[in-house]
Amino acid sequence: MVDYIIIAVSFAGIIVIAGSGLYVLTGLTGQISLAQGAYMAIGASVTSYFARTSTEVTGVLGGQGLVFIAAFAIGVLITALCSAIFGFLTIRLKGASAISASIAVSVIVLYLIERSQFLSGGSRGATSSKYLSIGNLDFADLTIAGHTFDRNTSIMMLIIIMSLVIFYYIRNVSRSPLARSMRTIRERDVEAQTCAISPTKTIVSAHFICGLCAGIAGALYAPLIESFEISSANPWLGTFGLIVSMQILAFVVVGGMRNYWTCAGIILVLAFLSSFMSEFSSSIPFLDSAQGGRISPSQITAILSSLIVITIIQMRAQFLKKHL
Amino acid sequence: MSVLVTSLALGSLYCLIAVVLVLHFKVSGFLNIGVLGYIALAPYLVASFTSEHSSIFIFLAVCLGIMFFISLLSFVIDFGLFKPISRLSSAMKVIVSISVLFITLTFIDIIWPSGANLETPVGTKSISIFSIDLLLIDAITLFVAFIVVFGLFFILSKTIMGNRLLAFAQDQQTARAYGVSPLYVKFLISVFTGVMASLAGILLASPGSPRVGVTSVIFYSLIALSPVIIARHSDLLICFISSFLVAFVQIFSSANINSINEGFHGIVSNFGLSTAITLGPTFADRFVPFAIALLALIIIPSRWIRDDANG
Repeated sequence: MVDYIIIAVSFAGIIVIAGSGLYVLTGLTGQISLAQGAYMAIGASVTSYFARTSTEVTGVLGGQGLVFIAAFAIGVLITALCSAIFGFLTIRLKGASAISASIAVSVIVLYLIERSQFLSGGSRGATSSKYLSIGNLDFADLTIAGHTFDRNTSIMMLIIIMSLVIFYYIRNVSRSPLARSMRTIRERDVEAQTCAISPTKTIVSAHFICGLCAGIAGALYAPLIESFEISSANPWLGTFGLIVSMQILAFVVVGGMRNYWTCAGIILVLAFLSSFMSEFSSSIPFLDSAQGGRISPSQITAILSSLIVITIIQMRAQFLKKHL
Repeated sequence: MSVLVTSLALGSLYCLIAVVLVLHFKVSGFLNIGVLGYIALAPYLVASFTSEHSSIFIFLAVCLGIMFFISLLSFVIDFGLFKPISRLSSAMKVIVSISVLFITLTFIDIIWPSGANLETPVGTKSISIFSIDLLLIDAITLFVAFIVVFGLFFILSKTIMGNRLLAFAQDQQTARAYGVSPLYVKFLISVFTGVMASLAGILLASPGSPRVGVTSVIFYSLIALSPVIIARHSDLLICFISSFLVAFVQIFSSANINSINEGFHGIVSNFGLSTAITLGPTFADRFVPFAIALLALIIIPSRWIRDDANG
């Protein structure tokens, strides 16, 4: 049970980080994106590439052997820049056009990573670095006051720390003049320009922050799952497929896009429940396909999280109907 | 010539899917991605009720039954899930439609874990027209798609039913004031969705080049989003033309992948990456259509963009 909770908390933390970025883009700026999973893929593969040592490299997979913190910074920065470039190119798109563009960019990014075999590892898949050194601490094998934590618990601690840092950062962003510009662009973009608010600067900044968070989430997700495969064969499914992006977007929208506290709280709860159900259901023989059952944990998660999203949106519509 | 014929067949399939999505967008004001789930579901259902020994009449009867079922499913989902949230933003509706797609795909995965094998009465037979060898399924695809799409264009532009539908799409309040029932419009859209989504799914999953069975349907459906993107979700004619354009570029680059690979290697070798990055045989399917769509979104001038900013 403890293992399930550790994995669920780690997963929830990662989704909160990725969702916080999407909150800035969707909640504050009004730009909808389904490319969060693809950005996570960039963060995961680039960070792993720079952090892998020569002993961890197999086949076509590459590695640079940098310390984790340096690889992490490079991976996150590259992801944020990719997101900012995409934001700059699609600056005038809104609504359905923006969603479509993000779907297109997701497939393209997944394809490009897949074909860059030094990043994706080809058909064998890629592995993350075994060492997660930040200063004197190695979060793959953390020892505090003489007590050594196992790998998953250590990574969970790193994820919790990063979640808190991101939470603090996004909370500050949501109170800053930049956030006011974003809200003005979201509500009245023409009027915003007359108030000397630059849509280009504001929207590109939102995309940059969104990519930054997705990069951090991806860079932390890779060590958690240890090995991952990036494939464009089925862009819907897969570790960083469109369905992951949809799930994050759904959590953000369900969480409410006006208040960051509420949004982050609801994302945390939904992501935790979703992951816990997924992990816990693998222990039920009649459910798990690996043990002779018919349904796999990921399928249960998919159905339940979709039903939760539909129910909450329907309840919100009913609430508005009654009170407005 | 074979590139052209295959492009036409694939383009007509994209056209069927794209037209359904555009029609939904025009009437309901949001991109109903859930329709892709119906397209994926149809061939699995047909494969479950038919076999390679089924006669053509049984096959057609099953197809009709599936069309009816998908129409009913579309109507029920539209009425049950989308009507109550009609006052919410288009983002919420898109998310509900994504959830519907999510559930449909998961159910397909649960019910048919090892896929399904769709056998059509025509199989992989080929015919010769004007000394061009053509797969019979490609000829049928072309014929059916053209009949359906031009039939739809005719219905929309020449009949009272179509005019009511377009009037409702343009201004719902005024259309309702003039007596166009929203229920009637939803019913019509569901019927169109059922027919076109089922046809697209079944034809996409039928054995024949370049399609490779039921499991690839959802991927090809995703590619069909490209014409929708190019048409800005609202222009049926541009959607029609861009479907064939996307299919042609896709098939053309697939046929010339070696030359493209050599050109690409020539460029990237300057950066010392020639052995690290290869385009591979999937370049045509997984990169080209989406790159065209993205390029279209980026380079089409702003004044061409219709007022679809909020859905």
